[in-house]
Amino acid sequence: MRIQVRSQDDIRVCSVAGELDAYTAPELRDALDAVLAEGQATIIVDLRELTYLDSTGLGILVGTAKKARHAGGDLAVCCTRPNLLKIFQISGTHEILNLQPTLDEAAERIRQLRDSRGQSEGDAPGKGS
Amino acid sequence: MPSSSAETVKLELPCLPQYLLVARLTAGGCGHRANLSVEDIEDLKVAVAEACTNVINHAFGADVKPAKRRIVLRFVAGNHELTVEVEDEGKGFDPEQVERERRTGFEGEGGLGFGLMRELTDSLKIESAPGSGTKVTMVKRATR
Repeated sequence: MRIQVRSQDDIRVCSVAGELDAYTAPELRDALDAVLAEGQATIIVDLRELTYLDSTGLGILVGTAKKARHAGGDLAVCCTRPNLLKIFQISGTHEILNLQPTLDEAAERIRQLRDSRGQSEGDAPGKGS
Repeated sequence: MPSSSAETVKLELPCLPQYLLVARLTAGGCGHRANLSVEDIEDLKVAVAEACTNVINHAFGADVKPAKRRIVLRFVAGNHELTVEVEDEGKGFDPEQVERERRTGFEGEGGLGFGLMRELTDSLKIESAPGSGTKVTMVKRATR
């Protein structure tokens, strides 16, 4: 498995290639934890070059999505491979992981989530007065 | 039982995550032998790896010597179907508890793996009891 982390605007993009299983998953968990530890909670995990995924990898993605939300950010996953999409669908994790086919759409999804959160915070009683 | 077939492939692995790839590659080869499609084989690889991952994560306590922690896999290629058994001699568990957790919508540790195994194969049988090891038997039939 190969992991690359880079910045795109104010989003950290973590690209993962190869096979993600119980043997390789700790490496991804460490990489995503390091991004969160930097204070970067807006993350896209690009899985377009990933060829294998199972429940261990899913657990890390869902766990990181929850941590990102808790830190005021969001996580989106970019994936197009049918065998992996099937795993997301079966496990019911496609929504919590904001699954998108392209990086642009993942970034747009994160912007939508951020905007809707800002809007609801602005609508909250006691705000803006 | 499928173990009597001349087409049985038996594989015994150390109970270590670095051998998951060996389990997947063997599942792929045996799936090809059983004339499963590429998509069926991808499903099968996940199901087999989930069964092995459960053994690695849950079957053996720290008191069991590493040499005693083994995963035994049997692959039996049939006519457009493959039967896979994944067996260990670990501490076992109550399969009814997994089923109860599934029905109530709460899947504990390892529950997601069983869910994937169930959805990605045509048949899943779990034989286990506390203290007597576990055998998971899965059947994957070719999508026509």
